[in-house]
Amino acid sequence: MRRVRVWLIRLVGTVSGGRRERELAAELESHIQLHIDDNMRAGMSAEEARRAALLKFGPVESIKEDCRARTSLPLLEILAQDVRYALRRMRRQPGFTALVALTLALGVGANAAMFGLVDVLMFRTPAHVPEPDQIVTVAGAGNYVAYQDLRDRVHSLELTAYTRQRLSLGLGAEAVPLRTECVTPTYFAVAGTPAWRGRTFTPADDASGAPPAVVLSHSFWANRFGADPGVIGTAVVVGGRPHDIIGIAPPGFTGLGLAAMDAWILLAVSPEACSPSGTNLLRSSGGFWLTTVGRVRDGVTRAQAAAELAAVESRVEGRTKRLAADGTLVDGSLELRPVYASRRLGLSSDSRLALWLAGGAGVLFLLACANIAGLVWTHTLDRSREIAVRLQLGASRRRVFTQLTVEHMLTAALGGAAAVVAGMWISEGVKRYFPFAVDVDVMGTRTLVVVAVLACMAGLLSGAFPGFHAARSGPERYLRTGQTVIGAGSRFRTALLSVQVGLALVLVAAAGLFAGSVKNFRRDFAYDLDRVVVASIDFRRSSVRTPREIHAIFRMLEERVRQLPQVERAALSAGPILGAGGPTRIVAVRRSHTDANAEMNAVIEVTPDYFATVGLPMAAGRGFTTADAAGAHVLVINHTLATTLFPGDAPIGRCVFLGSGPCHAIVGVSEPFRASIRPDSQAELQIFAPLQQAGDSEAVPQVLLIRTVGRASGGIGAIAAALQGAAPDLPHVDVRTLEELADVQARSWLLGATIFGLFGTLAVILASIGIYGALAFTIRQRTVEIGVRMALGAMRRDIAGVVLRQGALVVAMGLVLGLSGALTGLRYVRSLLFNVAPADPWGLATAALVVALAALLGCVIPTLRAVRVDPAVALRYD
Amino acid sequence: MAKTDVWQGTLALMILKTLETMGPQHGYGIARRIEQISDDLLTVNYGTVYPALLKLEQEGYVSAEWGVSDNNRKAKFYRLTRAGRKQVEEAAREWDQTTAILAKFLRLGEEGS
Repeated sequence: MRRVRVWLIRLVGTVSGGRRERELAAELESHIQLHIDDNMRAGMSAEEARRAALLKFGPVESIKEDCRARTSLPLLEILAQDVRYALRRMRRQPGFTALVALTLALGVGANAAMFGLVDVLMFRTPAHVPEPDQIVTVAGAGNYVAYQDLRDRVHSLELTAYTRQRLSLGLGAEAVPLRTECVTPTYFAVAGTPAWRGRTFTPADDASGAPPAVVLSHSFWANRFGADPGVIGTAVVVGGRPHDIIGIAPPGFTGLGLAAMDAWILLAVSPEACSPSGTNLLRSSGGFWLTTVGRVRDGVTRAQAAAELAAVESRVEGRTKRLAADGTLVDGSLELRPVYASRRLGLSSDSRLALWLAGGAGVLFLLACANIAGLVWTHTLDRSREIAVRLQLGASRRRVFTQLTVEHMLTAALGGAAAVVAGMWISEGVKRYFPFAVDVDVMGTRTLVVVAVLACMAGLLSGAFPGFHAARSGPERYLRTGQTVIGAGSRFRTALLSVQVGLALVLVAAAGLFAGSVKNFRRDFAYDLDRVVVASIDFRRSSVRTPREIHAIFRMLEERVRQLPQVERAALSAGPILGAGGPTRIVAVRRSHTDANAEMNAVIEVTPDYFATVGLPMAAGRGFTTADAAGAHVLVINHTLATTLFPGDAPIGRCVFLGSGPCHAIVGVSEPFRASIRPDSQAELQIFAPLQQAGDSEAVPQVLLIRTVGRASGGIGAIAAALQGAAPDLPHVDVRTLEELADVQARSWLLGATIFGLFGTLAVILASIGIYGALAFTIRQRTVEIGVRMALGAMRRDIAGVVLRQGALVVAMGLVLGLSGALTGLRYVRSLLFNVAPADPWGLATAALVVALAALLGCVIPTLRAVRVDPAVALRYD
Repeated sequence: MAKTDVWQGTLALMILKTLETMGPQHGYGIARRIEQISDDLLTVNYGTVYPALLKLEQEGYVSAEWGVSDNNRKAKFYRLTRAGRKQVEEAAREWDQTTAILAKFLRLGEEGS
C-alpha cells in the first residue's frame, strides 16, 4: 500500500514539477537562514556565518537532485524528454514523417476495413443477444407444422421460428420497402432481447382475432418516424394490412441473424404476407421455408437437449424430406447446430471472398512495413553521424535505441490515427458490395484494437532493426571516415525492395483476374445495361390479387412513364430480368407433336417494344408488332435455342409446339444472352412470345422495362417518383437500373477488381517510392565516387547505366518473385472467377509490364540527379 | 559512514524519534538535534535530512506545514502522523532486535578466539 501511495505521489510530482521545485528552494533557503542566525548569535560575522552554514549544509545542487529524483519518476521523465525530442524531429522533417504515416495509414487502414468485414461475416455475434452459445438451429424442421410439433414435444429448448420477407410499409406514394422478419411470439425471448420502447410480442398477440402487431427496428423508427415515441400504439400498413406498432427494438438489434432488419411481425397472424409464395402455408407439412431456432433452457445442457430431440424425432411431423437409397422421399432427421459457431465452418462465398480480400490487405500491410523499414533504414543511416556524436558524448546505447524507438512509435501512432480514417473510407466502399454488412458498424471497438496492434507492430518491426543497427555499431567508424557504411545494409534494402515489387505484382495480377471476370461477364450481355430502368412490384403480398387487376396496373404504369420526358420507350415482360421479377415459366418445346426429345425452356411473354427497349438485337427475322395480337401464334427464339432445335437450318417460318399448344411460327431469332449468372453455366435457351396473345391468367406481367433518353441513372429518380405516385393503393415499386441488377450478379468480381485494383495501385506506388528512396540515397552516398569517375572521363551514359543497373536488378528480382508468387497463390481464387484462367500468360505479362514500368519510373529521377553531378563540386564536397 | 541503505534507514528512524520527543520541528532543527544527541560523533551534512524527510512525507509518516520559527523566520515544520508514531515503535523494536542479535554474534566471535 505504502509503495503504491509513494508511486502515485511521485507520478503527480512528475506532472506538477514546477511548484515542488520552488518550494524545495524556499525550504533550503530558510534552512540556511536559520543556521546563519544561530551562527551570528554565536558571535560570527555575517560573512563567516553564511560560509559556515553553507559548508555544513553540503552540496546544495546534489541534495536538490536527490530530492528531485524522489519527487518524480525518472523513467517517465526521460520518456517525456524522448517524446518531446521526437516531436521536434518529426516537425523538422515533415516530408519523411508524412510519408511513413501515410504508408502506414494505407497499409493498416486496408487491414482494419477487411478485418472488420471478416469479423462481421464470420466471427461477430449479433448485438443484444446474450449468451449466443446457447442458441441452436434445429436443422430439418423447416415449416410451421414441424415447428409446432417440436414446440409441444421438446421441453429443454425454448423454440421459435422465423422467415425473412421483403414487404412494403404504407401504400401508394408513401410506400417504402420493409425488410421484415416473420416470427413466432417467443422470438424475442429466445434472442434474450427486451424491447427498447414499448413491448415485444406475447402469446396473446398470436391468438386468432388479435389485432396484427409490429415491432420496428430502432433505425427504421428513427429514419421513418423521426424517433417519435408517439407512434407506439398507432397503426401502419404492413404487407397490405394495418398493424399496430407495439414496440421498438434496441439500437443495433438485427434479430438472430446479422443482416439489418426493419420490422418484426407475427407469422401466424399474417401467413400470406409471410410465405414465399404468397399463400397460407401454416398447415402445409411440406417445404422448407422457416428457420427453427431454440435457446437451451437454464439447467439443461446442449447434449441433453440433443438427446431429447433424438428421442422424439421419429414422431415429429413435417420433417424435411431426403432422398432414400431406393429413390423414394423419406422424412429426414433432425439435428441441433450452434447458430453462430457454424458460420466459421461452412464458408459462404461472401466469407471466402472477404477472406481473400483480407489476404490482399495482409500483403499490402507487409508491403507497407517493408517500405517503412526501407525508409527508416536510409533515414537512420542519414542520421548516423548525429547518433555517433551522441554515443561519443556518453549517451548509452540503450538510451539511443529507446529514443529511436519512441520516435518510430510516435510516427506509428500518427499513422494509426490516419489509418482509422482510411479504414472507414475503405470499408464504406467495400460494404456496398456486401448487402449483409451495409448497416453494420464495421469500424467497431474490435477493429480499433486491431488498428492499434497493427500500428504498434509496424512501428516496432520497421524501426527496430535499423535502430538496433545504429545503436550497436561503434561511433568511431562514422566519425573517422565521415561516411556511412552501406555494405550489409544495402543488401538488406535490395532484398526488401525486391519483395515489395513482387508483392505488388501479385496484387496487380489478382486485380487483373477479377477485372477480366467483370469484362467477360458484361460481354456476355446483349442488353444495353446503361439505358434501361426496371420496375417490379411484388403483388403477392398486397391486396391486389387477380391477374386482371395486375394487368391493368402494369398497363396504367406503362402509359404513365411513356409520358415522361426522360423516357424513350417502355415495355412489359411476364418473366424476370436479371433477378428482378418473379419466377420463370418453363415449358416443353417440341418441333412436332410426335417429337420425342422435348427441350425444357423458359418462356417470357413480352410486349412488342421489349426488344427495342432492352436493346436486344435480332440476329434474323423480326420482333413482335401490335398486329401480332390478333394474328397467328408467333415466337422469337434466341440464337442458342435456334442452333439446338434446327442445327444448320434456317429457323424462320418453322413451327414449334409449346407444351400441348398449337403450332407457333418462329418470326425472329435474337442474339444469345445470359438470364442468370452462374460461372461455367451455358448461355440459356430462351423463347419470347407476344404478351397480347396470352390469356390474362396465363401470363401476368412481372416487370416494367423503361428505356431512358440519356443514361438510366439520370432518369431513374423521376421515373421512380412517377410510378410510386401513380396509384394510391400501390405497394412499394422496386425501381433499379439494369446496370445495378447486373452489378448485383457481378458484385464479387466487381469487388475483387475494385479492391485488388486499389491495393495493387497502392502497392505499385509504394514500391516505386521505395525504389526511388533507395536509389536517391545511394547516389547521395556515392556523389564523390561519381564525381571521381566523371573527372576520370566517364560518360553520363556510363553513370546512368550504373544507377539504372541497380534499379533494374531490384525490379528483375521482384518480378521473378512476384510471378512465382502469383502462379502458386492465385490458383486458389479460380472458384471466384468468371471464365478467366488464373495462370493466363497474357494477363500475367501485362501485370508484370505495368509493375516493371512503374518501378523503373522510380529510377528516373535519381538517375537524372546522378548524371547531373558536377565533378568540380562533388570532389570538393565533404 | 557510507551512504548505504542502513544509513538511510537509521537516519529515517533518528528523524522520527527526534520528532517524537521534540514535537513539530523544522529541517534545520532536526539536523541540529541529531548532531547534538550523537555528541557530535556523527558529523554529517545537514542537507542530507531533506531527501530523507521527503521520503517519510511520501510514505505518510510525517506531515509538513509552513510556519514561523522562534526567531521569526519562515520555515517548514514537520510533525509526526499517527502512522509515523506506530512506525517509530515498530522500527525501534526491530532495531533493538537487530542490534541484540548482532551483539550476540560479535560476543560469540570474541569467546571463540
